[in-house]
Amino acid sequence: MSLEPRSDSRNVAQGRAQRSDRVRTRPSPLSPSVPLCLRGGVLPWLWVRHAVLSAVLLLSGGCREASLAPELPVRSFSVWAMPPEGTVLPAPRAVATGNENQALVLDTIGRVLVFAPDGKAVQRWSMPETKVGRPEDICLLRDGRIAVADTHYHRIVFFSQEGEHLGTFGRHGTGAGEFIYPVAIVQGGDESIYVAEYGSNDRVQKFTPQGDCILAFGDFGTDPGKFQRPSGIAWLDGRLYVADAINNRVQVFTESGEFKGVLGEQTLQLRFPYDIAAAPDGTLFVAEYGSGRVTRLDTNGRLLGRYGKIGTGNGCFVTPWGIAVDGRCRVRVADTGNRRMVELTL
Amino acid sequence: MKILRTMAAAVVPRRRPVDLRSALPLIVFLVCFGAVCLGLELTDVVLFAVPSAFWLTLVMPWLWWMHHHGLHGLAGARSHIALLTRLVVAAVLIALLAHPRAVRKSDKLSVVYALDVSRSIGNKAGDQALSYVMRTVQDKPADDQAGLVVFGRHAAVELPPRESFPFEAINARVPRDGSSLERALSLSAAVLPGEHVGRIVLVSDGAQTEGDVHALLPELSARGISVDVLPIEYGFDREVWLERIDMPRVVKLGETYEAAIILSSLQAGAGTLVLLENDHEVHRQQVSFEAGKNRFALPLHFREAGYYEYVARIEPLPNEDGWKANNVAMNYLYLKGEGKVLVITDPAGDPREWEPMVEAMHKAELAVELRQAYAVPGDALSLLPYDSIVFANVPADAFNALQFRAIHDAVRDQGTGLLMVGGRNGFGAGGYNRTPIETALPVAMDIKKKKVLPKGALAIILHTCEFPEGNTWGKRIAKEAMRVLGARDEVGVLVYSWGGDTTGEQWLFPLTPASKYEELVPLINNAQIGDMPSFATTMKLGLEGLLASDAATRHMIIISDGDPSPPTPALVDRFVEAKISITTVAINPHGGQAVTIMETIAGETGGRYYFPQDPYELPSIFIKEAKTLKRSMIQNRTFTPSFRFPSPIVKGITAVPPLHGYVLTMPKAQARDVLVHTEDSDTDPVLSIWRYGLGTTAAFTSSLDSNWGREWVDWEQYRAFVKQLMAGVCRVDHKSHLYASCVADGTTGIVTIEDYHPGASFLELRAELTGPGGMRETVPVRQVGPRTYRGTFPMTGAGRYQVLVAAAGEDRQEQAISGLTVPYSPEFLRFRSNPILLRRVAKATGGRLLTGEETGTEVFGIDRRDRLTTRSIAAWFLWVLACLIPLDVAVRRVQLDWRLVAGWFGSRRAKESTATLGALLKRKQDVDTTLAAGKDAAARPVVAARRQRRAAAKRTVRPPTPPPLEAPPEREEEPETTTGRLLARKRKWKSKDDK
Repeated sequence: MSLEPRSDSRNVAQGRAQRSDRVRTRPSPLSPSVPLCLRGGVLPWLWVRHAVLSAVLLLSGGCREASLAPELPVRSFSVWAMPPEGTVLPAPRAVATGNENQALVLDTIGRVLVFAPDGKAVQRWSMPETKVGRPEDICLLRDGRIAVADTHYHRIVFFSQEGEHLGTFGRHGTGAGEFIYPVAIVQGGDESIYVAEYGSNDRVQKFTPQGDCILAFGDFGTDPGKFQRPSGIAWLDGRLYVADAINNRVQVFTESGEFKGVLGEQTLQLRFPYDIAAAPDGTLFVAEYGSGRVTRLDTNGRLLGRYGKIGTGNGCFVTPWGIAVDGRCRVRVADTGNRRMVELTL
Repeated sequence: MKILRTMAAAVVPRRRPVDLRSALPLIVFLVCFGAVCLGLELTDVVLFAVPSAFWLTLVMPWLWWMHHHGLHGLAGARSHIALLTRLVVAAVLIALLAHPRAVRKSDKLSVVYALDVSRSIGNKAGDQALSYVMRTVQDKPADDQAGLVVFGRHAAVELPPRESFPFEAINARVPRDGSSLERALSLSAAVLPGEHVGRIVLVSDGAQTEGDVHALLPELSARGISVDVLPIEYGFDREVWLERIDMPRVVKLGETYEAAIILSSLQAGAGTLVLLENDHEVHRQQVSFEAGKNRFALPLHFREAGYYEYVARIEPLPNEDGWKANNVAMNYLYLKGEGKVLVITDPAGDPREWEPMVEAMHKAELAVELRQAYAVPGDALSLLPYDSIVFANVPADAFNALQFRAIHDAVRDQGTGLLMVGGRNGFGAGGYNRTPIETALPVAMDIKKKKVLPKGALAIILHTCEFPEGNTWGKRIAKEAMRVLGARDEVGVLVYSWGGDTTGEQWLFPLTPASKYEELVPLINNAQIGDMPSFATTMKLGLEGLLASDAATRHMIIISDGDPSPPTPALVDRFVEAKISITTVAINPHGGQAVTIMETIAGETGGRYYFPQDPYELPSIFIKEAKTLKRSMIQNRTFTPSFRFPSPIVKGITAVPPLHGYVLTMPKAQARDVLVHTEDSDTDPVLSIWRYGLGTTAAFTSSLDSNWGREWVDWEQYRAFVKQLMAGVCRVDHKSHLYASCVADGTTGIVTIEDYHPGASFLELRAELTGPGGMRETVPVRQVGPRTYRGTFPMTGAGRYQVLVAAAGEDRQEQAISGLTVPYSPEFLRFRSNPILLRRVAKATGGRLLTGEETGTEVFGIDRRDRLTTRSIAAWFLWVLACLIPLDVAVRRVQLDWRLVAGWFGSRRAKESTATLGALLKRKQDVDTTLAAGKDAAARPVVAARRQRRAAAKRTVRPPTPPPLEAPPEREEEPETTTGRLLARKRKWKSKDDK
């Protein structure tokens, strides 16, 4: 960091009109008539400023990237208890925003839970089958159906708002309309459903609301446009934002699957982005599984703020798996490792 | 007098008048100091642990006096600042000596649930209790903390108190055959953080079998920890239980005896009494019994010698009984006969590996019994009928830990012989490193001196598995695999871990020599194993670690449920190129795809794929895998062993045929190597023998079959060798006149030793007890009657207890052995819970009696007071003191030119700085002139002189004109610097002295 002596202090001086005259009338500090050791007006002033700034840097933890990331202003950190099932205390794995800002939550014993905005679990039902594995993403469709990515059964399951099983589509395979591990689901602006999957056939497929496959894009790999566990997907203003977890990046596609770029691949320093959600104000929230934090971005990949660290207390997360933002910009996080739901009020 | 003079010298003589105005700074400071300290103490901001240190405040008036009458030469505000600084230094020092402690208030509540998981609780009540914990924890205030301690005979922390409660399953392994409320509450209190209000919720039946909880209650109360109790209540009005089986003391073959079964009942009733002999039912009869003790005699007939274990069981009518666990009694009887040799074979082995040897034993008229490894008894007493035990090329993973312990104890305590015959599954190559068998054998399995022996490297990837106790199993099998490795082999464990300094995929510990097993085990035990998103990163880390190793054999094991993202083909190819095989173990895999991924990884790298249906299969899988690194211990070469130490085993044998292979071992210090193989400077044992405890053990590191020993099998002296080998190993019976017997009395065992020697003699007895869970201790024995001795020992729970008695005296060295089996925990001799004890605990600690209907808000939402905790802040005061002392000196000794300082920051008055400095110099010159002018100046009143100096200073400091550097002409001839003037004055004094 460079220290600029007088000239750059004009910005400060301009903000203080009363002092500006004094600045202008001050004799030159480099006047040859003054001995060097007393010159200054300059060197001691620089030393003082340097010392102050160094102390600030030292106390703030140096110049590490993390410390320079803006802190996401959070007004409240609320914990929602997961209802136990007998002796089992399940962990939340996915969250989506439901009707009237409810939260739709999937847990590790295969339940679908509906939380009221005040954090009370008001409704629950179970997946049709859970022996092989539990689902990993959930989404409320505009027609009122709830779609669940039933990951280990290689299908998408639809429920009514009341939990009635309405049907499924997809089966195990690598062809069109088939899945290995469907792990993320979102609905686009044109009612299309986008499903991301992993398991060596990592890609995104686009479906009609009836479950007919329209297109598929992406492949397993590390190159741009390829994925390693695309575990989160968000739709915003005609663009798809895919949380490419193992590649530690967010990739952007058009609705037709055209690769548009990577958000801040070098600058964001994401650590296993497991889920991504679009906020009503046009920003994106990412749940970082590996860093135990929530990151807010704009659609250009500019880092707007970060919140949280790994831990068990308030303000902390352990392996957060899912994230959702409701209509009032309240961020719900599936704090999987801590077996709790967290709501952040910004 | 000297002391008085010193004290007087410490007080400066009065030089100035003392009035209220001059003392005002001191008074004000003392008032402020007292007010601050008192205020801090009363408002609970800072507490002073040693308030008596404040008596040192009496020093402050002395400091003031020294300042007021001292010759510091300071005037005006600077004098006040100097005084104030000095007083502040003293005040800080006094406060420091008073041991200041910062007070922290917290109304957060930390609750530890102490959950009784002993067997008396039962599964149903246990689940209800656990559900209660889950339900109430989820309703707790977000800022409060909850933790979980589970206990039986011992206690363990399942979850330390935290804001979140990430409970998966009860992973802690505590002995459940008893209850110790004392240990539970002690551990719970220990994990409660001191800065929060602490509370324990004790969920138990109150039936403590060990410890005394009352001793702990005052301590809990003193720490402000209250204990809420939730009694798990039960009571049985109808209960039947078996107390014991009495067996005859002396029996003979072919005669009939009776076993007496003592049955107790709370009520009269009927049922079926069953007696099992060595797991075979020998009696079943309907019985009726009265309330109280009942005795039933059942006939016993012994057809052959051996070890007989009897289990009696009562099957009461329905609804006539409470506990089922106490319906069993056990005892044993050993009928001595001809000694036998137990040959243990590999269930997956080839009979040709032991048939020549067994045939030779038969020819030598030895009674031989063949058993596969899984059928070996798990207690030492059951091995009494065998004079020796032979391991015939059996791998270690065919046994469990109990069997190893039983064989080891039989050798050490019962004198049973032990012979291990090698082959590909023998010794270190068979995975016997760090087992009790290695301890007993005369050879060590860790090869430390062989420079040429290639070493192996094993990387284990542990992925958390979604089955109950998945992480516990993962840790256990990793430890098992490490145990098998040789000292020079390297092992590393990779996990996805969170918490601590780093998060993500990482080495729990990098490739480390397995000889550091004891250091590595705690690392595994304390690891937090998370759900890794991808195999790729850990595999890459493992690959890099293995590539960096100079091991000849490199291997990786992955245990997972298969749902992490698969590795890239390029990464798998790198494993193939480096010839590193990967074995995958799928645990509860998520469907076919997970299986496919793991199968593919194993298949492409030349490893194996396992899909165990039962987690209990895991340890043996890992041992097998780890053994793949051990093949380097097998020496496939033809050699002729040479004789080393003479031994009866090779009596009459002058030469032996060549062998075609052996397993590398290291001789132990006290062992006798009878046959060795020497090559270059290395000597490897082929046949080694030594005494271990009461038994003799031998190791034949080659094989006695048609493989490595194919020329031995056809050797004419083969049978003689085998016969002499077994004779050297088998137990030699010594006649003993001692008879030992054990009985149980509640939780105490009683051993009685009777001496039947024809001549009366005093004996010195020593009794060694071995019990369940590796228990081993000496039992104090004392004489209680003529030729009768007795000792007692505590029984820590259900299991087998064995007492070995050794007697010495008047040319007698005799042993006797006895034992007893406790089939059920003493908990099951209580027929109702003990809520009274629990209520007492709650009352003594100010806790509540819970009903089980409470919500989390009610459990946590109690009236809570702020918890005050303190921590020393002496370090802060030391820092302040360290800053103040230089300041105190500076205030008195350093004269700052403030205008110059102001000039640094751009003040326009900077140019006047030289004038100020000049004024000071001028003033100093004036003072010097005044002092030099005459000694009468010293006689003037101090105040008057000071006023004069002030006036002079004022005149000097504010000169209208000109600047001081333009000094009067008469001063021009004097040196301008202070040093110069001092030197001039010195010269002047010197010249005066010379004159």
